[in-house]
Amino acid sequence: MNKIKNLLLAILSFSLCVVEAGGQNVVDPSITRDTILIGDQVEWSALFHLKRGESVSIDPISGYIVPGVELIKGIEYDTISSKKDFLDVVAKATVTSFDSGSYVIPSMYAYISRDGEVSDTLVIREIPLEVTTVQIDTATYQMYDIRPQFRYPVSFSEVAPYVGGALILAALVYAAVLIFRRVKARKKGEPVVRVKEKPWVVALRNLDGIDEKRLWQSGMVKAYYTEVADVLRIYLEERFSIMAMERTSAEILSDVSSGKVLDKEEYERLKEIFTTSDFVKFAKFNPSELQNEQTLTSARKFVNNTQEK
Amino acid sequence: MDTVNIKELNERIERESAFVDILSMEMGKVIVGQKHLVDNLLIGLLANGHILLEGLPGLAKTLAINTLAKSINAKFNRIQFTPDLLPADLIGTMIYSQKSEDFQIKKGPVFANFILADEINRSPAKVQSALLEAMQERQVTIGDHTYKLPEPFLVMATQNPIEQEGTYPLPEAQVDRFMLKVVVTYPKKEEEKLIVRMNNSGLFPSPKPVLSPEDIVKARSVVRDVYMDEKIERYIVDIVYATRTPDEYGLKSLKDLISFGGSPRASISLAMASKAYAFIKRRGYVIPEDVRAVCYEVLRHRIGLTYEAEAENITTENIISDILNAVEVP
Repeated sequence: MNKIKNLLLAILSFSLCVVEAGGQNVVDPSITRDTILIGDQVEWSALFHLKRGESVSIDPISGYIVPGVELIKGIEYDTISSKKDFLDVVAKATVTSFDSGSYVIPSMYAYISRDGEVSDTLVIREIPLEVTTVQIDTATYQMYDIRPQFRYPVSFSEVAPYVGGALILAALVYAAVLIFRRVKARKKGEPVVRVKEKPWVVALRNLDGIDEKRLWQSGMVKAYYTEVADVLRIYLEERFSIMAMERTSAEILSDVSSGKVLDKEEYERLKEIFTTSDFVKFAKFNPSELQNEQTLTSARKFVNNTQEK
Repeated sequence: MDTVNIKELNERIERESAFVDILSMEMGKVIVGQKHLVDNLLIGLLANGHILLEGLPGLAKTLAINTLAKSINAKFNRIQFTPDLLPADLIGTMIYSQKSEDFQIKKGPVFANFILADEINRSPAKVQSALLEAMQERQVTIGDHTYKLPEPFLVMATQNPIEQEGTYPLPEAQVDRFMLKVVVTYPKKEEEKLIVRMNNSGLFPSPKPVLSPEDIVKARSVVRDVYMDEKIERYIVDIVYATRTPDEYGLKSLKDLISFGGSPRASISLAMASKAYAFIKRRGYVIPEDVRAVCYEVLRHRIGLTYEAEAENITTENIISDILNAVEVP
């Protein structure tokens, strides 16, 4: 008996809230709670019973619906049932208030459209909303200082990236040190042997190079004698550790003579080459072709005869 | 200049430079030792330059230039520079003649072929400038008249290296006008023994004139013709540049020791002195030895030392030696 009674009551209340679009012009909205605490959210909704092919839209609203009641989430439409030629569409919005008091969510218009044209306009009734605040027991009220910022204990997940990074870096440094030590050890174990060419080898090669350039044959007699003299001066520097490039011919001859590094024949040969070279270089002396040829031959002979045995 | 010309020039110079030996021999009769001083006097004379002499008293400086003057039959004047000397005492002045009721020119001692400016640093800057201007311009202006100085004109100025009190050291710009700075040293033992013997005997040989001043002027033009190859020119420039930017020649250690290097006048003087040296050696061309032989005399007064160098007792001679040992010889 009670079950039947409840069913009848439910049918009655549903019939009061839902209005047939074609039949009545007023819709009664509902809210999940009619009394809320400051800051609580409440869902406002209105149910529309539409014929197939019809759609509903409510005047768009945003921000404060009325002073004190704020729209958090705009109106959304949802089809909750579909039966043959009818559809049940619910319009929902979430509202809140940050000030205590009695409010009324105002009346709104809903437009029923078919084929893009408004076919009916419905009025959604206003609905009251009570916003209460937290009651303060003034008898036992005690004021506290403002609390400092609360510090949460550091969790492992927060630290993990840093710890991981440091470990990877340490591993890389360790690997680099190991590689460096191994390379160093390898170098020590296998010393690089640099073979320095003997000065006479270099000198003879350079004299051959001068010969190949055919300098005097092409009229560059001065360059020819300069190069021959320079090759011999470099050779003397390397072979006998005599500072030759920064010394004059007379000084070089004096050095080799006082050091007794050359025998008389080679000394005379060197003197002859240097004297002729100086004549050509500084006095525009033009030697004969035979002299030119003999100078190179003589230079080669000097190097060959004075090389280390 | 082709080969034939060089040969001709060489022969000509051998011929023209023959007097050098005669002159040296004549001077050698009077001056015992001091070959270096005599050679440099000849270089200065032939290269048309002036000489700054540094040496202690009694080292035959006056005797050397006096003997040179007598040997070439030239006029010689010795001027003792004192703190109260005036430019007019040096170059001359205008004197009012009551007889002619007119101003007459009275030429100063600078009008001579050879001047010994003794202790030049004892006189103030205005007197030094008067002499140095005469040295440079080779002419003197007294009143409204400009007078050319006789040719050859050689100034040998002495500086006492010990006494510095009450002296006016020559500024760098004026020192630079001297082609050579010769440092006179003591004679060798044997030489000094000979000097004593000559003085004790009272027999002082007197030099005979073996040349005329015109011969010297003529010889100067021959010295200018001495062939200097481009390689030698480059060597000279390298040496002078090394005094300015030693680090470019691998002498980084000298950078902090040199406050200023040789001027372009140093390069010119080095070239001219090298030519004169080659001429004395009776050669018609310059070789690196000639440059090195005159390098110390030409450069020693043209290199400025820093306080750091002075504190370390580094001399310009040390620096020149380092430079000669670093610059590549052609």
